Amino acid sequence: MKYFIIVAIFLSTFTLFYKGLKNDPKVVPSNLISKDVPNFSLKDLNGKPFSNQDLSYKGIKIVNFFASWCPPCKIEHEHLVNLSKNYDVYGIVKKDTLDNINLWFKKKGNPYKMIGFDNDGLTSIEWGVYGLPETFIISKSGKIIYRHIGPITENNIDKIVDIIDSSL
Amino acid sequence: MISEFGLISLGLVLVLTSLSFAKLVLSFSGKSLSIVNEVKSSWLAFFLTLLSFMCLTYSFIISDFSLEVIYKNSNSQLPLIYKITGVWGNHEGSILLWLLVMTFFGFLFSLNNIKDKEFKEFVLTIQNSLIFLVSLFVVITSNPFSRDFPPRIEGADLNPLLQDPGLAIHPPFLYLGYVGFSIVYSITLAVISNKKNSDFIMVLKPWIFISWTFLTIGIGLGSWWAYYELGWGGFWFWDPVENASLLPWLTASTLLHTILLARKNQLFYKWTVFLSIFTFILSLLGTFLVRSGVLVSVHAFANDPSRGLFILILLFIISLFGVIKFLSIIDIKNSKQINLLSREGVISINNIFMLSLTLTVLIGTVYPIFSNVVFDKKLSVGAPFFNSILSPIMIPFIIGMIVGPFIKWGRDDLKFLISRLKNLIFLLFFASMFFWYMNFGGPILSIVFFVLGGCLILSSFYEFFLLLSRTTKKRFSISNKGLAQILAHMGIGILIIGITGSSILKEERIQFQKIDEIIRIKNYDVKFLGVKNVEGTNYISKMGLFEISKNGQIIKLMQPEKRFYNSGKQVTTEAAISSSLLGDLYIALGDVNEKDKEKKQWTTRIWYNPYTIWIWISVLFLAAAGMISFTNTIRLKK
Amino acid sequence: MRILFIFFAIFVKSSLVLSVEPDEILSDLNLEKRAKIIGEQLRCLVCQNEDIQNSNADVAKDLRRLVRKLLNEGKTNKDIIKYVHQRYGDFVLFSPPVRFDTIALWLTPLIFIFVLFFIFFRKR
Repeated sequence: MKYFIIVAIFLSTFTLFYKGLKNDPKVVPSNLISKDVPNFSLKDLNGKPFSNQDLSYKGIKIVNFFASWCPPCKIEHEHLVNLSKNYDVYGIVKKDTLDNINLWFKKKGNPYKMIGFDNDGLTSIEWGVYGLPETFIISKSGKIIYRHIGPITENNIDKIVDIIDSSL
Repeated sequence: MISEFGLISLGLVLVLTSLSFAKLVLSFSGKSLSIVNEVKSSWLAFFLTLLSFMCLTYSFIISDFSLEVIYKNSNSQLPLIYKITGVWGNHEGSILLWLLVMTFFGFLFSLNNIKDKEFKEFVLTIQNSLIFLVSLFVVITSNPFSRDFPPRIEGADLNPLLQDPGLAIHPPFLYLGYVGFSIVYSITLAVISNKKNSDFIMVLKPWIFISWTFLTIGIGLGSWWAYYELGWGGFWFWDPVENASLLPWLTASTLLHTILLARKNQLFYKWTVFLSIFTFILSLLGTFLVRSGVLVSVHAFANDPSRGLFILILLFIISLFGVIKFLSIIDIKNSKQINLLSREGVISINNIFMLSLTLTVLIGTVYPIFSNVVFDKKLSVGAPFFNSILSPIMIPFIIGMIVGPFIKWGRDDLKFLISRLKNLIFLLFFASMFFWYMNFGGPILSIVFFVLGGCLILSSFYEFFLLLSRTTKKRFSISNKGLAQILAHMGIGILIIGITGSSILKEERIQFQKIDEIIRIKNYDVKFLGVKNVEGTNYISKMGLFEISKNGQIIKLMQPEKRFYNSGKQVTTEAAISSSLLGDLYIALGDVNEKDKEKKQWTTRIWYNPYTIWIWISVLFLAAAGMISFTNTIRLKK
Repeated sequence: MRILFIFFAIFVKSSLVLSVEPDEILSDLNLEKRAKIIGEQLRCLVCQNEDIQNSNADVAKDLRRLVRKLLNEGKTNKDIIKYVHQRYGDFVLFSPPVRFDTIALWLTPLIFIFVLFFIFFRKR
């Protein structure tokens, strides 16, 4: 009897660690899923305001956190441009200058309907952002339904489009 | 060519020890296989592994970058000493070192003059089987001799943090500790299998003492290194890798106490068997946690889940075998009732709290994995959690250490005990008042632990004087049994004071310091003189100059650095530390203040860490205690 | 999964561990002390097991600044930790909140102590 209990404990511990191996301990899930868009108030390239009010209409919205000094952001840019053809894409720039972003858009195009400059990083904190790039999908009713960590690539763009479509 | 020899030697070890493993497996079904002389096998395994290790070291020294591990972890500009220590500054090399130490302990055991040949052979069969499993792991997943094509001409470099004498010797000591418990495991399992009780404890003791001593020194070195190298005076972070080294140390420390009673009391005999097996299991678990990528840690090796799976399977096999064997003795009837007020009772208290601490640290370290897999939640368990559970457990534990050595065996009487210890009680009372007064106004926790630590030191001194008065001059020697325990408990008292002072009473000054500006900390005046550029062997350093004065007198110059390594653009901070028994003055240089136009302001961080040096001194006390116990057990056998 | 981290831009090596910069330090020393205590409870999300008080990472610096800003606004320590917790989840806290799924963490040692007392001291 006692052997049975011990082997059972061992097997469950082994399974636990085995499953643990498959997980990446560093990927942090967003705590804002199913919650409303956080309040924020930023300025865009021309000093005009961009706030959460601009996201309060009915329709799918994509919010992308990026910067010109972030190499993976360059990788995903073309996918954002593609996405912007069908969906509204908004951008929040973390700690960058007007000149850099202007140059960035000149070279690569501007997929964003509106952008805001988060110079002190506090808006990024409101969204629970901890690295770049991060992309949020907001449902028609204004709830955050998905957060994508890292660049959008050909490997994951299909998944993102699926999530968008299934919420329509 | 040399590295091919290294690989072949390793392969030979694998083949050789596979015979022992086969023998062990066959013995389960009652069949015996005697084509192997285990003693000779142990010798060969050790020499072949040593040869392999020397081949790897040689390749590092000549900077053979065609070997992948050398390309990733070394550089031609590296000073020779770090080319050598770089051998174990990476996963593959360090696992080979693990294997080497395991074969070394097998070899040492085989030199033992044990009358029961069958028993000796069985111990070595188990040890060689362990060696087989680890060498299988090395050859299949962590081959240090694997080549990269095309061969490179320059390496990536050894992480600058590892280019340091403290960190160079920390792994070898740590492995001598961890892996020493492999032989403890093997001996214990051989004993259970052969149903031999008589000599068991005496055979086991020296291996426990020496491994514990090495583990203590290894952990102490790691902590000391972190203190002076990481640039802000922390020495313990409850990082998973640190916890992984602490767990076997805790169970081994418990083991040191249970073996005192193992021959007379069946309950303690069973605990001794259990802990002897479990300590090695914890060493392996630590290896798994650290190298598999399953936890986030500052000490992370290049993590690889496929290696992780292999280690997990090894861990599973080795621990299952051990635990099942343990279950075969669990039905031995326990003998006597243990009274709380007795030496056995205090040792039980020690066991209870030490094992609870072990379990808490284990659960805290592993909980993020559990939470993720079972509840799909990501959480963190860090210093605040561990610190909060540590204090309540330590308090009864330390009290036990203070009075424990004076309590009689079997059963003691409270009134009698108090009257025997009248003098000590008075002494402790006044000492407590003294410590409380000295720290008046300070944080309550620091007062509590200063009092406890101080009382522990004092009661150890008291015990020492009692010991002196009991033995005549002719018969007193360092081998006196009580001495090791006195030194160890005194060491713990010293450690408590060191940790309390250093963490709770730390003072900090962080500022932009102008040239010639003086910052006051404690009763020191720290004057910033400026920064100069200095060239090192493989780095360029910005060296800050600080003039330290006390009471108007200049007493020394301190020179913290920021080093910029040529190879990989990595930067390290080398703090300047001035240690005294009362505390350390600790200075780290930051960056120049970009906002200051003249560039004459630098960020400087100055700390005063009270009693830090007591932490390192305590490690010396503990190591001395361990060595004395070790030599005592060796001498007794003769 | 590993590729994710090659891509993830602000992944900082901890060898640059320093700590708070002089211009972050609040002039009110009591508030600064509280900032330090709070800082030691919050995890730097991109580092390997460090707190925000002692990390050079961008997100750590931003969180430090946020903590000090909230302290200046008169929030309590508990409020501030809750604020960060709401945005980053359990992972950012170094001591998990007490809930049904974390209760085992706190209870197991306690249960174990009782069990061991029983094993050692029970009447024979």
